[in-house]
Amino acid sequence: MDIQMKRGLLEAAVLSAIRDADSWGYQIIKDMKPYVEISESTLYPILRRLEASGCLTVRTEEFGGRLRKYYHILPAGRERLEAFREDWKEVLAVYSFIVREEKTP
Amino acid sequence: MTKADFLNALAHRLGALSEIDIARSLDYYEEMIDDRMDDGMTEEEAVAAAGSPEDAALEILANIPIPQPETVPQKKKPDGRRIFLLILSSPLLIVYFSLVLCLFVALWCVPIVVWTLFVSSVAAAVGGIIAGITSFAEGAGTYGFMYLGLTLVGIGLSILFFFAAVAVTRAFARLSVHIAKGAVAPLRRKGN
Repeated sequence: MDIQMKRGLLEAAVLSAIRDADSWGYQIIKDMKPYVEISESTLYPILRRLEASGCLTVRTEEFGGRLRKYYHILPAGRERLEAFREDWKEVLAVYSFIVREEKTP
Repeated sequence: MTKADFLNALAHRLGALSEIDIARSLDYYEEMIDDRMDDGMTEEEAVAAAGSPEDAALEILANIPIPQPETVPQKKKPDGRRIFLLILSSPLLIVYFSLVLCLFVALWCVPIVVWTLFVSSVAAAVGGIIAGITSFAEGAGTYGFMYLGLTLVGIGLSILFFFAAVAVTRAFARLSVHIAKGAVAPLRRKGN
């Protein structure tokens, strides 16, 4: 898959993973696993980018005697998800045209 | 590989990043490994699932900007061309400074002359007193009065020349500083 497209998809998927409730790194990976396999090393830069672009915020909380970072979606992140949905409607329309059945002569 | 080994190896490869970014990256991977262990994996399995520290470092370095060292204004190195020109022009510089020195000597002749006049007036006054007293002692009253008159003139001139000498010295001191600055100015590099 095209790197830019994959990056956009994964960023949207991560935002979607924290859409309904705040979550943490390992939980995000587990939630995404049935749909897309993502490694720690792939997730980390995505989280940093989303944080830098104001789509999410991070807070540290104690959990089981250690610290854990929780990611919280911000309004800009929700807008991004909405924009993603709109964009993909167009993509799906083009997709259905590309994969339409061949006409037999 | 233990968690500590993994984190050490990762930290070693992130040296180019800022301390904050290194700490954040290590926290992230440590949390991931801990979460996997909480999920039932052994430490070794959890570390293996995190991938290799090399790959982790490559991914981080490719995505997090490396801080650029601030450009510190470096001390100007001696300019070779300038030193060469300075050596070449040294005979001219000697002549130049000799002329400036001559100017100073000529200028300071004026205060020296005024101070000399002051010293002479004082000497005349002192001499007049001695000569007057001696004349009176020898019975030559007319000469005695004449010498006393000269003494009074000497004292008057002494006071006059003293103030004149102080004023001239101050004025010439200011003038000398001004000239010295003016003499050095052409040799200074612009902007220094």
